[in-house]
Amino acid sequence: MAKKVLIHDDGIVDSGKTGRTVLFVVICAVISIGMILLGVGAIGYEVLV
Amino acid sequence: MIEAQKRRIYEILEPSTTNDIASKSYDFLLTTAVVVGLVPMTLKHENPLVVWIDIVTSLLFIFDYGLRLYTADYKMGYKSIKAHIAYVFTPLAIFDVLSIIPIITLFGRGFASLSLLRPFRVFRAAKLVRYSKSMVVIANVIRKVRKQLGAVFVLVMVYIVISAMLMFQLEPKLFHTFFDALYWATISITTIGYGDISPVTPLGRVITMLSALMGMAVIALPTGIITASYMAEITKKKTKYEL
Repeated sequence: MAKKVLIHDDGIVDSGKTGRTVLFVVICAVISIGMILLGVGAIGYEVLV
Repeated sequence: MIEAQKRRIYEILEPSTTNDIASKSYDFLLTTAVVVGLVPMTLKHENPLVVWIDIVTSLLFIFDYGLRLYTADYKMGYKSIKAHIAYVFTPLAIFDVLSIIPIITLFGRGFASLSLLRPFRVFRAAKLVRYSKSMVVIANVIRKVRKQLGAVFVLVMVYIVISAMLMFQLEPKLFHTFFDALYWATISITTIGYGDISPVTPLGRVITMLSALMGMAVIALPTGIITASYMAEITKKKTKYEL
């Protein structure tokens, strides 16, 4: 199968890898922050309730 | 194409050694999941957020295990179905499965016996070995001296069983079961000495004294073996770095 690439007006070849990496990093960061909040929340619940 | 994707997944799963941002992000995600997954072990009471911690972390660990199994041929270094089977029996893969087990408790919260599975959460800490360079060095050191450590372990076990048998016969009033005698022998040889079970006959006291003396040698032996091997590993790494 031929590899699909996007060639921008300024000649930069974009295979979409950077976008996928950024999306992956954002997903990892969101889940990580969510888990940290859950952990802090669980400890807070134990202390306060 | 599929092979290239598989290789990329393997690169992301493995601890990052280069400036690979995706791999670093995944390392951070898994390390966070391990640390947060251990939080329920520090809590005494039932907590609604603990259920969510268990769900999120367990799903992540299942996903991680699935991907590691899928890319096992790269990890094991040979392309065959045997690589996937062999991977399942590696120590870290076994710890991965053990760390997933607590999710079963979510499906049957009414069954008291399932609560016994909750302590399995502690196996999640073993997953951190992958992401710490120092832990990898210690794991390699232990692997190298496993035969010597095994010999010391066998020696200790034999001594514990023999001293427990002797005490069980010499001090019948002191021990209700043989397990009590084994407990006493272990506590004495490790020089912990809680003092909850103490000998009353002179012969029993002599065995206790011997156990305490034996304990000092037994504790020193593995410490010396591991330290010597660790220093050798550090020196080897230093020499390699200087060259």
